[in-house]
Formats: sequence, C-alpha cells, structure tokens
Amino acid sequence: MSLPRRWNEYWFHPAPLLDLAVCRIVVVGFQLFCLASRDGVDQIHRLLASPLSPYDPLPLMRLLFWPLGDAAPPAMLVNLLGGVLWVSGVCALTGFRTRLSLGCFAGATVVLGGLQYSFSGPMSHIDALTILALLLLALSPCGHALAIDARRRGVRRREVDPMARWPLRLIQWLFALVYGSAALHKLAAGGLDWANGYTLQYYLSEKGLLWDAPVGLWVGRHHTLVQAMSWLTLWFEATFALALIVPRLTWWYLACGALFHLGIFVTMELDFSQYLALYAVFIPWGDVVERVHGLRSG
Amino acid sequence: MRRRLVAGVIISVLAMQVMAVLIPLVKWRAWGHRYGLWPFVDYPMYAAPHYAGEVIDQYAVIGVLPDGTARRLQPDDFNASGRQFVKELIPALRGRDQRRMARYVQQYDARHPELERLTELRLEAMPYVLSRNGVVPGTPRRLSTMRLPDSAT
Repeated sequence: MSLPRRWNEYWFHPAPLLDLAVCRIVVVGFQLFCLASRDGVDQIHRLLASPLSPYDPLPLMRLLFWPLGDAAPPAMLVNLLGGVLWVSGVCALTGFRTRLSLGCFAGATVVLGGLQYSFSGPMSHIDALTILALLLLALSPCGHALAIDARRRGVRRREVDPMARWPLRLIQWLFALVYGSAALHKLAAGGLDWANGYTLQYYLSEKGLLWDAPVGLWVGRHHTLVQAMSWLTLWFEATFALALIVPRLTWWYLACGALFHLGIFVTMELDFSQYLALYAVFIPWGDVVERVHGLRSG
Repeated sequence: MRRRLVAGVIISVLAMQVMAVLIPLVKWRAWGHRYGLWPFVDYPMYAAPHYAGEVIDQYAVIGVLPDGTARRLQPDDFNASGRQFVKELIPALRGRDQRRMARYVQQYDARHPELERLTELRLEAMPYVLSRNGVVPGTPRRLSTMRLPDSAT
C-alpha cells in the first residue's frame, strides 16, 4: 500500500459520528463542570486587581491584544469573555450551531487560560491538553450526531463519516506525546536515577507535608513499593504510544492510566480528572452502543 | 482539498507539540517565553531526581505584633497564592529584601485593618530528612528575621 493511501486509511477511514459526538459531550461537559467549580474568571479578576502579580503576557496574548501593548486587558473584556465562554459552552454541549459555538468555547478557553498564565501564575498542564482537544473537535463534524444540529438536518446517529476519525486519533497521539514528554524530561534530568525510589519518596513526602496528605506520607515510607511505582510510572509514560500502535493494549493502558492518575490524586492531591474525561477519545462508542443493543435484543 | 487541509492541521499540531517539548529540553535561549507556544506546552513536572539524605524544608512565616504576640501567617494573610508565598515571599524574606517585602506587608495591612501593624517578620524552617523509611523530622531553625520600617511607632 502506498504511503498516501496508508495515510488516508489511518486518518480518514470512515468512523461513526457517534464517537465524535460522545467525546464532544464528555469533554465540553466536564470542562463546564471544571469552570463552575474553579471560578476561573474570578481568579483572573483577582490577578488583575493584585499588585503582587505582574502581567507578563504570553506571546499569543501579546498578539491577540496587540493594541494594548504590554498592558493587561480591562476587567470588562474578561467579563465579556466569561459570558461568551458559558453561552458557547452550553450551545456546544447541546450541539446548537456546534462548529461556531465550540470554536467560540475553545477560543475563549484559550484566551482566559492564556491570561491567567500571563500573570506568572502556575501553568496548568492539565488544561492545555483539554484546550487542544476542544480546538480539534471544533474543526470536526462532532455536531452531526447527538445534537440539535443533527436533529435539524435529520442525520442518523449511526452514520459514518471519513472526517470523524482524525480528530480523535490526533488527540490520542497528543496523549502519547504528553506522556512521552513527561518520561523524556525525567530521563533527561537524571537518567534512570528517577526510578531510585527516593525521588518519588521525596515528591510524595513533600506534597504530603505541604497539603497534609496522610496517604502520600504513608506511601512515602515504603521504599520498595515506591521504587516499583517509579518504574511503572516511567514505563507507562514512555511506552503509552503502544496503546495506539497495538489496539489490543489500549484497554490495558487506559486502565493503568486511570489507576496512575487516581494514585496521584490520592497521594499528592493533584487532580488529573480532566485527563480521565479525555480518555473518552479512546473508546469506540459506536461499538459500545451496538453491543448494548445486541445484549438487550439477545 | 479538504483532506489536504486537515493533513496540514494534523502535521502542524503534532509538530507544534513536539517543538513545545524539545525547545525547553535543549534550552534554546533564543526562544523567549517558556510557554511561548501556549496551549502547546511541555511536561517537566517532578523530573529532577532526589537521593537519600536530602532535606525537605517546610517553612513557617511568623508575624510579630507590637505587644510581642507571634502568629503563624498563611498565604491568605498576604492576599497571595500558595505559589507566590513559596516562590516569591519566602525567598524575599529569606534574603531580607525590604523592597519586595514592602508589597506583601501592604497587602497584609489591607487584609487586616482591624489588627495592629506587624513589627517583625520571621522565617522558620522545619527540615525533614529523606530516608529509606520516609522523612525524619530534623531540628527547627530560624532562617531570617526582618524588622519592619514602622516598628518604632
């Protein structure tokens, strides 16, 4: 098979529109839930008002707000963006004018996130992948099923489309690059010393003391257990791409990933639940629905 | 035509993500901001290796009122985030940087108008030494003391 044909087969093989639609609902829904629970717009207002947070715009923010120079955008604009975020988010969730609404939702999320990180705030690596996923979904026909748009057009939800596969595949590859990046940084910083057991004991104890997290402190006392966890972490992060290359391994990696993030949450109180929601891109929802229907009728 | 456009998007997205990872890794100084490709970012969290015997310091910032009462202060007392507290306030206090600390003291005064002004700020450290069996508490020590300018009043 020629290379262009392989390329087309890999990225543009017709896939169920339902897969994309479910991912749209899960990713947008979870992002709205996170926005409601974190109050990101209020955080930006606090940063705008605080003299302790100098505004050092990210290049993208400098480009978007070039008429303002190096000055922070006014609070009114932040309020406006917050309004756009909520209205477009609800429209994207229900699939009303999906492409436009999801584009606005992704755009407002990029700008508000970028503003927050322009105030020398902590960089949330968790948000970045979700934002990329939203941008990619906005370019896809994800409103062609389970959406108000689909009802108006009379699209049947089990239809397949050659443009339904690439966004999900691309988000999957971004996952592999993200995990691979984490492994690469660990290996670049100290080689296999990262898995000496003490490294992870250090981080578990540090967070345990900082957040008063007893589970992290308890796990940090068990050197052999922590050493095994360190090796598993390195292995999981460095080889996650195998989940995409060998489909049989996908479920194993997803299960390991879920345990990995759950473990981080319990021991270090770092919340990666957005990643778990994004794991929706690995699940063949069309097949799941078929099986459930098969079980019911059988 | 549409597929070519999408192919361009796929290649660009993958290339940007790879660049976001590699640029900080090779420490390309010409590249300005670490997050210059936002929302494409690298993932270097918790990458540094650590060894037995290393010390994890837990810091405490103590504020002293005119009557000599000492009280442990939290980031919220300075209207600061946890990150600002750890990355900016504590190093400023440790280095007795009056200029940088003045902003935080102003924030404290604004936050606590009902309290008398602070006369002194102290930075104390509780060291924990990393061992095979977890961390072992060491002896607390005072790292710095800073008399505040208005302490005479």
